[in-house]
Amino acid sequence: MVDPALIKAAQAGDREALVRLLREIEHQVYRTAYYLLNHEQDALDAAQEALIRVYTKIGSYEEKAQFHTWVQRIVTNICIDKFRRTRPQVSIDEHEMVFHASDNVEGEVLSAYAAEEIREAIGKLPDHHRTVVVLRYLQDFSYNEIAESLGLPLNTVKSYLFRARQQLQVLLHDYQKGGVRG
Amino acid sequence: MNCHEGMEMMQRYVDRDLNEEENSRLLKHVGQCPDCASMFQRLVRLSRGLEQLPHVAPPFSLVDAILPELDKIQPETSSGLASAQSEKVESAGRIPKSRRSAQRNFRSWIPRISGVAAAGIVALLLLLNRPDAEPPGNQQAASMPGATASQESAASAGSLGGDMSSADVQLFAAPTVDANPSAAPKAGYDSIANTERSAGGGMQGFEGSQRNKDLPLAGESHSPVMTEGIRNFEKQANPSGADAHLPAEDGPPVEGLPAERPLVGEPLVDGSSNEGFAGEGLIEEERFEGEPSISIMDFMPETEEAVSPDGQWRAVIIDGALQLYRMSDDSLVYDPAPDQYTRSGLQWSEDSSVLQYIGTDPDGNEIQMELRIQDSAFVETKR
Repeated sequence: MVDPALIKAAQAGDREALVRLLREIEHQVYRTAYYLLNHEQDALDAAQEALIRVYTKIGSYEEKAQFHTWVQRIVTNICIDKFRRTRPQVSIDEHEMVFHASDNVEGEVLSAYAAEEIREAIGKLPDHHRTVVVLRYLQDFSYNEIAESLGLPLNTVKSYLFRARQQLQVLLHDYQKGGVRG
Repeated sequence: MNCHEGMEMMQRYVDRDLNEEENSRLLKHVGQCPDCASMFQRLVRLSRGLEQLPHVAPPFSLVDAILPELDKIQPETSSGLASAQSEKVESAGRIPKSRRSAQRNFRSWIPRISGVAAAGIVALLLLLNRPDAEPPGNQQAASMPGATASQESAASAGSLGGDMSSADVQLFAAPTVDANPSAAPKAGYDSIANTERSAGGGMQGFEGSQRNKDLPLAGESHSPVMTEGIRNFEKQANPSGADAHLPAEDGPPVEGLPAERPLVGEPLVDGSSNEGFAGEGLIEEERFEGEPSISIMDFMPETEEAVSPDGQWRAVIIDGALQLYRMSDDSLVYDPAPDQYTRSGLQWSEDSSVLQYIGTDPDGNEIQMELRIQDSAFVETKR
């Protein structure tokens, strides 16, 4: 939690306070960029761009919004821009979806999913689904905080999150069965 | 509770959004329905995996890396003293972070030097002719291609450092489904039920920033990174060109749907929560404003239903997604991951082996789709 006094000082033109503020948020900014872009160098670029934008725009932040949701809004927008420019999206519905009625987990080895697998699967999600998942799990945001960050209605946030988890579940299930999709 | 309702509750369960009563209803259903039990188990496992993702940290201090650049920027203060000049300077130079960046900067270095020289000459001429003009010095800040090798190695070393807090790992200690699935998840739920944070006030706060219309043009003296930055700022000056980001990809917008039931521990966000985005906002805020606020995926379902001629299957379209239930026990047998198509116009073949329907993509293009049922497997094809 960033000290409100620090934000106020930064907004009033205290440069040192502003730099200290950036230091406090740089990890959370980078984390979001890393999982949204799934690429270290792109994440470094995007995170720095986001920090610079926070630096220049600090005067326009108002206390009615939470500071960390405001910051995440900035970094997610930068990442989505970046992602759209650099990578055409692979849609999982280009492939036929086969769903077996008797396809349950009995007999399945219930090992935990590897972080790497999960990260790759997140990278296959559509932009908005991926963003919601990252804010929910990497920033530990509530539905409301995600809604505030992205300027979306609460219902839409839930719907994106639920669908995203369904997709991830299918993707990871396939990985574990040795199938390759996407 | 049917399986569809169960699915939504499972989702809310992993977000710790169920109250006691809903929790026990879900567990009761899961205890009776093997399909839902296995789905529940997968979902809990997925959510646990997501919560345990490493909290990666940057391999070097990002703030240190941008400090030289920040020194040249005049931040907006809360009194709104932004200067377009600061935006120009912002685009002037970024510390290279890695070999890739170094290469980019190296490529732009030579023209930059000549740019500096040329700017100097031009400035001299300008000064001779316009004594009141400002010297051009800091707009042509030189890049700093040195000192990158050590950062490169640092970058490759530390990407996935295990910076994970133990609290993150322990959030889902209990919920697993076993022979007696009703006991274990509840313990986990109780221990985490109160962790939800409320979001507080609405979003009225983003108005009032100054939009900078006086922006630099992309010139040959900028590195690719900087040019990219300039494009962003150009967009910023042209809000009509700001593109929509999150919604609207999955289908036509549906407007004015009310929020659903209140959430545990969270105040409902009502329509007023977004009003702040209407005014003069930052580019970050503008991205989401004026967009269709609700997509077809919302949980105020638009449903369509068709029972197969042989009475064996019941096809349902909810929010554009197709599901199939077996009539004999009303079990959900087909529930694929969602995709971009909005399905409608269910039509069964006479022998009940093929279900035909129309899929509409986000651009409004319609394609014929069908679901074939063979040996209790369901294969969807698009034409």
